Amino acid sequence: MKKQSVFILAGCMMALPFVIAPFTPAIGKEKAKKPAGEVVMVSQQSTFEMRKAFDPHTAFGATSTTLNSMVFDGLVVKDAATGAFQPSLAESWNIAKDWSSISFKLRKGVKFHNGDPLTAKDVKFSIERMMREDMKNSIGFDLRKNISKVEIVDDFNVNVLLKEPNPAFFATFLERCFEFLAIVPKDYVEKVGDDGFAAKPIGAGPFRILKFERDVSFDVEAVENHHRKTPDVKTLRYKFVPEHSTRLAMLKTGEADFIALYLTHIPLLLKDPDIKIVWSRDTYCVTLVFHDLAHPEDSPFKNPLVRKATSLAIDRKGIADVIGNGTMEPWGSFLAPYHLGFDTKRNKPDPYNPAEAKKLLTQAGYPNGFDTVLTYTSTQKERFEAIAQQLRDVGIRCKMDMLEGGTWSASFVAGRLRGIGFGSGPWWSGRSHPAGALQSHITGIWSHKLATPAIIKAMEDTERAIGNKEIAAAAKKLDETIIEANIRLPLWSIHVPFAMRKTIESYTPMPGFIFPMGFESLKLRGK
Amino acid sequence: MMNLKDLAGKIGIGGLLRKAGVHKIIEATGQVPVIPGLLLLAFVICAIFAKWIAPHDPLFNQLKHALLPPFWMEGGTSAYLLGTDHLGRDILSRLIGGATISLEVAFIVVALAGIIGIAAALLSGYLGGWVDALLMRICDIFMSMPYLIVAIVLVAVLGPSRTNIIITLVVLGWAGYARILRGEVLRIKQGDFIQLAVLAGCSKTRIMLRHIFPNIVNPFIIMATLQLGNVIIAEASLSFLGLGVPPPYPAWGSMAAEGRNYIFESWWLCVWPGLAIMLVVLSCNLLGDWLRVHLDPKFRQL
Amino acid sequence: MQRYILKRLVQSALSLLAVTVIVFMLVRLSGDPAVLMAPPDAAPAEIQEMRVKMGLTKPIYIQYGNFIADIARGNFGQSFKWDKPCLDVWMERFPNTMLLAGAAMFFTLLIGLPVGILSAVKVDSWFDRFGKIFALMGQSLPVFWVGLMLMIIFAVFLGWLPTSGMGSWKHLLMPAFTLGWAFMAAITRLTRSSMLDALDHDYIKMARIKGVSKYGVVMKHAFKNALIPIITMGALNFVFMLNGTVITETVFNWPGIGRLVVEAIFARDFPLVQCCVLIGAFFFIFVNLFVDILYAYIDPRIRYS
Repeated sequence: MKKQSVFILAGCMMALPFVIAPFTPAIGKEKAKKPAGEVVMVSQQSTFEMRKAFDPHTAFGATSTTLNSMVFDGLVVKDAATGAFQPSLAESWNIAKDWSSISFKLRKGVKFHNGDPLTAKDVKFSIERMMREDMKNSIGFDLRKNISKVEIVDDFNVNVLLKEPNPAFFATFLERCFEFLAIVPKDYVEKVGDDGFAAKPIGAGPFRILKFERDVSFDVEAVENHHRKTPDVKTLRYKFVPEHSTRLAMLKTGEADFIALYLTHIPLLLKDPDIKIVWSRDTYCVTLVFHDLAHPEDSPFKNPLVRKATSLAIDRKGIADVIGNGTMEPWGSFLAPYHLGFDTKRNKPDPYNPAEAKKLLTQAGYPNGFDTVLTYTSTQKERFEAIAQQLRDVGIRCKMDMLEGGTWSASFVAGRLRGIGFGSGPWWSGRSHPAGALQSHITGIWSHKLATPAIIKAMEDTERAIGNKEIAAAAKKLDETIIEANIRLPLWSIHVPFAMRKTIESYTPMPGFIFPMGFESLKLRGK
Repeated sequence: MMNLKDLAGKIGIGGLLRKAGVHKIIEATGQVPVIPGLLLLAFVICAIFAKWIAPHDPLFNQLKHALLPPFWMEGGTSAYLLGTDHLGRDILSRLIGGATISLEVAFIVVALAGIIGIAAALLSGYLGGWVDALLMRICDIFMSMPYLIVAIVLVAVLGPSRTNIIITLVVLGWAGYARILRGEVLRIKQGDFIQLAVLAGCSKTRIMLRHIFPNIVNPFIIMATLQLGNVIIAEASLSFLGLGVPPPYPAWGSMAAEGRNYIFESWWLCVWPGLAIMLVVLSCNLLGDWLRVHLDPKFRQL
Repeated sequence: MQRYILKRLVQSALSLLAVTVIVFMLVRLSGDPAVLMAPPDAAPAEIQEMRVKMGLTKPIYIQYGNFIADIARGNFGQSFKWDKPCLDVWMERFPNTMLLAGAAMFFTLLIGLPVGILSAVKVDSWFDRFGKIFALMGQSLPVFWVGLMLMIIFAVFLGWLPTSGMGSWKHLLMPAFTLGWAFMAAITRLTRSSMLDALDHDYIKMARIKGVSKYGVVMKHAFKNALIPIITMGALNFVFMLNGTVITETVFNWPGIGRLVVEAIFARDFPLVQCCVLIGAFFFIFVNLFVDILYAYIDPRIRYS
């Protein structure tokens, strides 16, 4: 008897999963052939970096932009070809001459997905909602610090007033209007409450949400007669797949039409006639940071000659050719081509010259080289393994210290890293204002507080500049100042590849954005 | 055969060896799984003499020779028999060099975890009482933590270096030995010869070390052989998540994990280390199973 | 008996408490979620503000005290990243992992049991040798390697199965086999030795003498007796699978607990990591306890050894 009860109990335990199986949500009938107009896209980026899925005002990472840009609309939008700001919900905008306010004139006749018309009260509500402390989003802090109030002039005119004039604020504000500041319908949100809104979000973007499963997938459907552009795609299914090879397999089998491509897979797909590769160029700059400069102890890197030698010892082009497959472009500037003040002539990375590097090291008093540490994250493994050997060749012997991403970023910001190491930026990420793009990595938390007074002044000048000509001149000066100070070495500009099947005729990625967006511009074949 | 036994007697480990059943191994040479044994031996030799065997420097990259295929394929050269990796390093040399790293990690982990495990098993099994209760609860704690998850957290905290990976795998591995060997100690404790030793006035330490320990060497060797493979696999799993033995050292797991991104075109980056892992771990397992059957047929707790 | 159960329960609870301490300290040593969650252009003051909001600026013993007090009230904390109770997040994903582990167990037993039985009964037959090597190979290959190879063969080249994701039963085949294969050798080994044990008993020999057919002896008598350790081990393996599916889930894009935890670790979502590890440990301790008590119930001698 006793034995039998054991069997029964154990048998029940084993059978449990099979009993549960039919009730799991995802087990259903296999889907028949893909309907026309449906596109499946797969990316390694989870696009659900919103604290409360799916409330756009709780977004904290940079990766929520894909979804944000589809379902919600901001006051401005970026042109996929040029990266310039274009009117979206706002017809026009105007920054006050004294840097104390910005006014928006809204487009008339815009409707949210639920039919509510867009008016100034929705804009005021959305900005103020974004500023609410309990939203815990990533830009609320900056908005709260700077914005004093949002003023409704009439139904279609809104003014955003600052506490005090602050040019730096405007270096990033429009960018944020586009990436984060989703405009939501006031009446609807107030009616259903925060939780209700997160469960069934309504926006004014070109796509309407069908379903989403956090960190797994989401489906959206095109909105008919959208005020900006009615998408070519009928439905778009987005899946989050972190494993690079799995994504490639999905593309090859036709399970996916569009994938975020890993660089090692590029040569293979270039040979495939059914596949086209498109690029989001100049997303960020891989730099080499001299961590030792931030510490009082003596270090060889405090000698400018050694820093110059380090730069000459790295074969930027050689490494890019072998492992980059077109994703890495040797870079010598801190600006991206879409920035005002960028100059192709000035973008000259140091040449590969190990002999000269050795000579400089001897001059600096290190004829036999020296030992140091090279830190980087596991995602940068190949690049920095190659760099380590080239530095070793001239006598800079690096102990390689590979850190997990989270440990690395915490140590970086806390200033615990020594020697030299991978610097993940500047993150240009499509930001059109040069000061906004450089701020975090040159004077902000990712700068290691290495900025010299000259750099800080040049940065302020760039923020204050009015008019394209002035901004360009100031940015040029800023770039030169940083390069002259040599606090970090630009190595490569990173281009991000996407691969798509022939079902998609054309798609232009937003320049500088790592995450695919702007799908209303995607054209399907045979339409 | 006699000569070997004599030799063993001369160098004074005869008693231990006999208790460990090594004579049985020698007698059963006819049934030794020859292929796994030879394979394992070959890999160990590779590991020890890697510096002299490897045709190239496993850490030296020559960017202009990147991604060359194995020699029989178009574009391959006999200079790089198994091809080169994405940084132009010779895969054969890396496999040979990787044998050093992988087997070193595996042996150190198994040895350290084994020593801690044996010590805990002896103390806990022989002394009993609160020592037993305490040690076994500590075992419970370490065994109950989800293996891979805690490994990830530990490696992320400590940073992925070879030492830290060894520490992580030892921390997570010793409890298994302690648990199972304790059972053996309990069984042996009941034996007449232990009672006699107690009557003869042997100290507890002496009984544990001289009487019980030799009797748990067998099960330990069996477990250790089987565990060697598991450690290599665990290292590979960590590598997959970017937390394996860091570069420039070419551990097999890291090589396979790195190579997986090239699998569709340059399959040799991933396939060779995968095969090396399979051969070694399979050999370990076959050998372990065979040892189990021949050394200690009653030892069934694995 | 009651005293034994009570004692074991108290001990298990203490073990679990120790696990909470270890996990709590470990995750807090490993990084700063505020830095990871802040945008790259955040100001230091903003990051500090986030730390305060997450409750990370309090002394660590107070944080731990709150954590334990919350658990006592059945609250596993609020995930930093998901802004939801951790338990809810866990519950959403758990059925998926359960399904995968269950199907994997099915493959394990489907091949592991017959191979184990046959290698005990008919040592050195071709089936024994082939089966043993096949089972061992699963244990000898890195899971991601097997997964990718299967995907390339069956999805990309042959096109028989979908590459990844959840959906129909076809989606389940490859991940379940990949996971199950890794556990096959252990079950084979145990089945073989349990069968040998069982076949060794006097009553089995008696049955043979009495003229029961060999098949009858093996299946009816010996296997029945050998099943208890197999089930025990199977249950423990199942718990291992529930916790150890990280890699299979990543390769096949299966939205289960494993991936949830790994992403929580990489994002330093402390409460979620704590919750998942704790539940994993709870399962393990609970199943162990259950098995031990069952054994003690069946065979009272065990209690005293």
